[in-house]
Amino acid sequence: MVKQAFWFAKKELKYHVTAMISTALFVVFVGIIAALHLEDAVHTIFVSDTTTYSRFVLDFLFIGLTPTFGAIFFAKPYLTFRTIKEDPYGKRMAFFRALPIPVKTLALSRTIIMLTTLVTLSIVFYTTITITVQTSFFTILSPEKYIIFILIWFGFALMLAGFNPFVEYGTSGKALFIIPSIVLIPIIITIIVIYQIFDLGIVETVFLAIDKLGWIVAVIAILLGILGSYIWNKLLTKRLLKRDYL
Amino acid sequence: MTTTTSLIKVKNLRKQYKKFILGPIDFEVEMGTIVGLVGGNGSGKSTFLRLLMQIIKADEGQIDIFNQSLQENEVEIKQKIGYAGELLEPFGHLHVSELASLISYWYPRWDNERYKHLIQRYQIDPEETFAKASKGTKKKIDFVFALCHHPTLLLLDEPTSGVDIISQRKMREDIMTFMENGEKSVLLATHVVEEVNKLCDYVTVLDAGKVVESFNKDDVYEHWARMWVSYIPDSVKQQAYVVQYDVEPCQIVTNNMNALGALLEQEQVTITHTQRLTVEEVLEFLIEDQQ
Repeated sequence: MVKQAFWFAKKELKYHVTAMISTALFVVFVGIIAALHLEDAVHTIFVSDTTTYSRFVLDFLFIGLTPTFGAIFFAKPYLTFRTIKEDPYGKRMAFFRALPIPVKTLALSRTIIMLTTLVTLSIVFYTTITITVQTSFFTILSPEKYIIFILIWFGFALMLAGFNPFVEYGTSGKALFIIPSIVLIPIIITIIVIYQIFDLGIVETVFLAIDKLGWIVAVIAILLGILGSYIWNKLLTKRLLKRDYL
Repeated sequence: MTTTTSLIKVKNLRKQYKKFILGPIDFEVEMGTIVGLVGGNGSGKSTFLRLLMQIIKADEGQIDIFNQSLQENEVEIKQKIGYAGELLEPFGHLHVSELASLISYWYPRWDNERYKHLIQRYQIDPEETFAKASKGTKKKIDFVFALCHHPTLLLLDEPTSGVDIISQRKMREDIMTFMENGEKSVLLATHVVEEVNKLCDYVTVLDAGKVVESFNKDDVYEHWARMWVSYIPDSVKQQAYVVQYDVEPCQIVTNNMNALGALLEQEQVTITHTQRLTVEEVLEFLIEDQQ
């Protein structure tokens, strides 16, 4: 099953090279914005407490955007409103379901595609940040703490990225547009509430946690990420067995 | 039909949508036969085939194919089914050869020589992208893919729709060749009476999601007729085998000519003329009657 799922995922990823490159270019752009904000954030937390950047933008980029690195969001279905009516992901899955492919293999192949996309786009994102920030950034934040920071956010993204194939293949074209918008609302509310209560941003809080607790936070984040991926895969398998594709 | 020779056995199959209910349907396809699934647009033919392929989940009912539960042996069963159901559209950006590579991997009995032969026979360019192919060519591609892994059962959803007449003939030939050893079956959803006449052994008529009639095609000539009579007594009008009657001129359409003949004789009604019905006329009656 695993061998078949890998073959399938590889085959499909080949068909999406152009969309993947476009998505990666967008992620470079996001990475540059994140880098500029991160520099200021690190300075604010560890050097002087004068906030010169938008906490909201920084938190939104990491909380709202990094989990979407599990989707090739510059693929055609994401860029056209025809998706609402035509449900291209559902139609693709209808064809796969007509083939003699076990549902578990289908779900695993979607998870592999998601993981490949997440790893690729995360590498692009964090490489962009690493290149963009000035050398002074690493005099404030040690490379070790920076790696912990990356692993924490990668773990966070890993925990939630399984949501992408679930929405793509487990719901309808309409849901592909509506659900992410609905999910954004509680994220934004959470960010604002945390500002009001603690007067701290979430990314800032992560920096403080790294300073106090070190590697353990990264280990927990990665473990939660693996658990999240596993749960999403099970949910997708269950959903694929039950849904109508046409 | 006995259980052992049924390639498809469907019991109490039901699927409900907001504005349409398919079923409950009881249905069988015997080994060595071609069954035509006929009905108006929206009667549920494609939905029924999709239920058989698990693309749509049934709300109720049991589907057994090759005497195995579809639910429990899905992969094994699908390896022996050739389904042409117009599902390739989302892969329009792929070449026909790339599609073949994507599909063939999942069929242990995929025959590449057969694929090459059929591609050539139907004059399909393997390097053409699917989206650029004409409607008829897309149908031919669908049909070719359904045949390349030597299936035991073919499920064909209007396979000749939009196909040129030469290719239509070739398709009919290939279906007949497919049936040669007597151990295979075809379920053919179609609107084309010629296909029913030339290919099918049995015909099942669907209307508004229900099976309204299932019959052996050869029985049509024996049992179906239009009779012109001197008058129509009320006792005749009420019979189940009276499909339609008209009083001006007095005529009756029946699906049981012998029974009607006997009753008319008993009622001392004179039969002035009798005309046997063709399959086309019978199908028209069945579909029109429901509408």
